[in-house]
Amino acid sequence: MKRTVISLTVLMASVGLLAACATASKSPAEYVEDRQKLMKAHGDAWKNVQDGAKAGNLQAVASNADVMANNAKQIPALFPEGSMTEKSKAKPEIWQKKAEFDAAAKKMEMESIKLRDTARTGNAQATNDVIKDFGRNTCGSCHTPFRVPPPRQG
Amino acid sequence: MTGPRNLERSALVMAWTMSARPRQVGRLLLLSAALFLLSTLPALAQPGAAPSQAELARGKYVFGATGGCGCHTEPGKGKPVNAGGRKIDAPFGTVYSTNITPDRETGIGGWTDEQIITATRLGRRPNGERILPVHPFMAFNGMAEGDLKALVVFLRSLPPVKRQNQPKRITVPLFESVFLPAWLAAFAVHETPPAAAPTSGPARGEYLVKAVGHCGECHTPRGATQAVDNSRFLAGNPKGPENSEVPNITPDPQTGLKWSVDEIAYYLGSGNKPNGDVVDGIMAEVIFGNVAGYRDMTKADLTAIAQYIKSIPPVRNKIGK
Repeated sequence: MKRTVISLTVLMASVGLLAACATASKSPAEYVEDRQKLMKAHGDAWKNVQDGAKAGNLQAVASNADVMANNAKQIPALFPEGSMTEKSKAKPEIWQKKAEFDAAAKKMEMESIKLRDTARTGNAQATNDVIKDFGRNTCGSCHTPFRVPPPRQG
Repeated sequence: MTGPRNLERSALVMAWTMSARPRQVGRLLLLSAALFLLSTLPALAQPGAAPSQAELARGKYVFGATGGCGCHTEPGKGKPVNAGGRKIDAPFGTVYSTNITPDRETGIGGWTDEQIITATRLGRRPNGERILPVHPFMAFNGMAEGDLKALVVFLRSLPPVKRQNQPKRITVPLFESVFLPAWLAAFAVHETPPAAAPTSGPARGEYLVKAVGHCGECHTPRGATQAVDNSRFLAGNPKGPENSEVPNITPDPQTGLKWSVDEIAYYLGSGNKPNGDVVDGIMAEVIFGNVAGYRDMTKADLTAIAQYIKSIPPVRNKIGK
């Protein structure tokens, strides 16, 4: 019994260590790829929120807002110091003002939760009111100071 | 201005007219015309009179359709609206936007309506001094008189802010005395004002894009003379204001804007792009505005703008990598 516990502990510790190594060895290019994937998924979810709201489908709004809240949680860890490549549109200000950047990600999370919970009440008017300034206060408030704007319209 | 009281008056005059002789009729007609004119005068002749809610609303709407006169407010949270001080780097030096709040000493509170309109569309201060063409007076020259008057009413309704204008720093010798007047005469493209603002259809879209919205100031490339090159209208600018790459929004299938009319109108009214991204930078400022912005325009106007943008000649001009 004791031996099992010890070996389990050792196993878990080594798994943890491996995971830590894997994280530490992630290259800047991988970080950039991961966050661009996340942002793409995030944009898709935001688009789904708007389409859902236009169609009066508040359930779709709520589930996509939940996806957005989860995405937002992952943002700070995807921007470790030095994770830059030519492909990245991140501005150096992210690391000069990391606290502000992290706060913006937190705001995205909280606003997404607010949007999700409002949509869950089934009140279309209240949901649309949250949506109206959502993009500006969350995506926009972070993109303007921290992202080089895309010149091409997608 | 032609309210129920005027109607009553006209009815009285008409009743009287019917029982009078022909010569009196002529006099009475003159009298009624004069009465009518007099009744319309007070609103035009008393700048100090409180503006009506309708005038204010129209002015706020025009203010929004210009993008909220955003250059006149420093970027960032809580900056005083229209108080100026925004730094703008130009090829000839650095300028700072001016205070256009109704403060009498440091703003435009001491200017007459006519002086404000002249500055807005002709680029001249009351003392005759030229306003540098960083202020898009060449585009605003295409604004209808009625819209400008309403805009002035709204500007006067905003809180006055005491803030001295920051002096410009011109690095090109003889710029204002020699180069600028020559440039304005030879190269600058001036829009022409319509008698009245078009109210619907393609003409409305064109008016809002070219004059009020002054989209070309950022979206149209500039030639060697730094004047907007309208042969490539709205084809994008790789070196736009504040070092931004301004996209080509002509309907060119390869390098232009591929969004539908509805998508463009929705974007201008919300800041949301069809791909799930959200506007940022200067475009975000003009869409959301400080007090009002593009998004406060009616759906009909936003659609007219979108339809017009879809109708302009496509220009192949790749902006960015």
